[in-house]
Amino acid sequence: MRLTKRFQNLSLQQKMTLAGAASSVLSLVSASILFALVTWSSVRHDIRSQGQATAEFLATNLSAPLMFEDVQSAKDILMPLAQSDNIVAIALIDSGGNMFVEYGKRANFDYLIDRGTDGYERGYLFNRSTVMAGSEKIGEFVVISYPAAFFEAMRWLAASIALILLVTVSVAVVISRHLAGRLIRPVNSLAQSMEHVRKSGDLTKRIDVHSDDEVGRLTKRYNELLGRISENEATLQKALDELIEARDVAEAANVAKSQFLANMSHELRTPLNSVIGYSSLVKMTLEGEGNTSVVTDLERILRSGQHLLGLINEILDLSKIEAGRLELEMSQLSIERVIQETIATLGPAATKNGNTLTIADTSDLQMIWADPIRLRQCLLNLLSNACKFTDRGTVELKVFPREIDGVTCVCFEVSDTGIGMSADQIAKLFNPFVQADSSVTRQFGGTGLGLSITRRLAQMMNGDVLVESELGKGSVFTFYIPEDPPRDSSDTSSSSVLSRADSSSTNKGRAA
Amino acid sequence: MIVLIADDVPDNSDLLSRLVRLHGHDPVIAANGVEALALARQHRPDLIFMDMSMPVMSGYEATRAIRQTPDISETPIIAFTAHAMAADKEACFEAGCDKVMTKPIDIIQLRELLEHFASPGRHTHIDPEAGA
Repeated sequence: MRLTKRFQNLSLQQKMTLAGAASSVLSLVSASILFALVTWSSVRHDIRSQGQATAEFLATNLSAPLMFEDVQSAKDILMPLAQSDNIVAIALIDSGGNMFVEYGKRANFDYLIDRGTDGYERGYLFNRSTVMAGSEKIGEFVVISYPAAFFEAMRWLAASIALILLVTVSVAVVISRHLAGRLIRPVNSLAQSMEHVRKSGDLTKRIDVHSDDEVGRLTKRYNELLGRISENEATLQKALDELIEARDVAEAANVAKSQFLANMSHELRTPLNSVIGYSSLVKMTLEGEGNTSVVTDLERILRSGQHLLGLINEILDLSKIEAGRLELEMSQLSIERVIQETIATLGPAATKNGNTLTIADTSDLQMIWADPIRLRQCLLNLLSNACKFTDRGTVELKVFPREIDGVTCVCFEVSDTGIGMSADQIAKLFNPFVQADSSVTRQFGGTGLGLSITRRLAQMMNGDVLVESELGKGSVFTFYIPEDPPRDSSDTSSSSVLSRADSSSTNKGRAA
Repeated sequence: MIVLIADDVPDNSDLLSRLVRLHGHDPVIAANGVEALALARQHRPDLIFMDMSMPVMSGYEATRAIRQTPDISETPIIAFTAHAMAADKEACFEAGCDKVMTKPIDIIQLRELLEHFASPGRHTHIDPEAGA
């Protein structure tokens, strides 16, 4: 298990080297073992044959001395053999089984001689030969030798095999390493290229293909893949560039639009100054003279001028909101006072259509964190809409606290019994320039910007405007914003604290 | 009191001067910043209505020049501008105006301003809030 793991952790080149070397070592070792076995057996056989030939030759010569019981002659014949180094013992036995001549430590081998041992036994070689006189067996001759030549040959054999193994295995390892290196090189360049792509994202470099084998094909496919990726990337980049360009164009157009609206607001205000100013002047002059015959007409001109100014202000507000240039002046306000001021501004418009306006008791509510001008603007918008789209009905303003998304909010709920809206009309309601129905513009007037401004302002004060309505049954608009300033101590809230300090003194913030 | 009105559009200066006279004050009319500065030195007005975008010398420059001229440097100056953005108002205050009145004219606001600056002891407190 541990070995498998260690093998897995080797590099591919090491694995291939190991595989190549292992297979060559295995075949070499098995060949060597086979060779050694063959050599061993043939040398063993040769040595025994030699000994047998010598024994048989001497047996022939010993025939006469044994027949004539001439011990001395027998000894003379055996002397040269007995003196040779490898001979351990010699025994010449007559037909009666008696020892006729002996040399060496014959007694040590008595039982083996008696047993008739012939061949290798206990590291010694027994060569046994029969002594004949004509066709009659007259004795037995046994030579016991130590086969030193055999062992010597075996040692040489082992040494040579070991040397050959060492040399060939080394050569095999070197060749395997080299071959594996050559095989691995393209794989390594693939890995390097991938690493390069990963680190730098550069898709331009390709790998040279030198072979048509599996690795060569892999490299080719990889090169193609790089090409595809860089093509895709170029396409994506092009699309991204186009998008960025389109976005820049759109942003520039939006800035131009906001600038245009700001300029227009300025240009429209200048003639309006004369319309409103001179009609006021004439009205004041005539009233001073006691001449009231045309005052009603002048008041119509004045109202139209004021109405036009209201529309211009709405357009300017929306362009400021869209350009992100509308800044809020948040402060702690008395809810009751805000409502009083709003109703005062609404004035006779509240009851113009024969409506009843009711304000629910708000005495249990104290303060709210809001921009006073913008909060009044929002409430005024909702109330004047309700009054505008209701005829001889009731418009009601309720103010109550409610937990929304874990924040305590103040809800200003304006409900009416007016014409109401369908689901389709509600869906389009907060889009700028959209009134519930284009015929509404003709019948009721207005830019259609009021509600979208109100909602944007509510959202800028971390609140929103909700609407429920049914065609013919009236509408309920709920404007809500958090009761307290956000608790985090970021820059915006600290500047809010500053502006609160400003407005709580007699000097309100300059840039109202 | 003497009220200096600086505006390059004759309709505007005519209207404002007649409204000022209607409230019982004496208007002096300048058509640009240079004239406004000269007439301010000459007449030492109690109040100045300054149009901010005028040829030759703008209302911003004229206001800065008046603020640096001895004897008239304390004169209350009301910017009268058709630029209604908050940043525009901020620029008027930076130039040295005390209040900002946006065009078109609001008769009630004008009356309140004239009453405020005509009343004795007004110098003890200048309220920069000009209404929105």
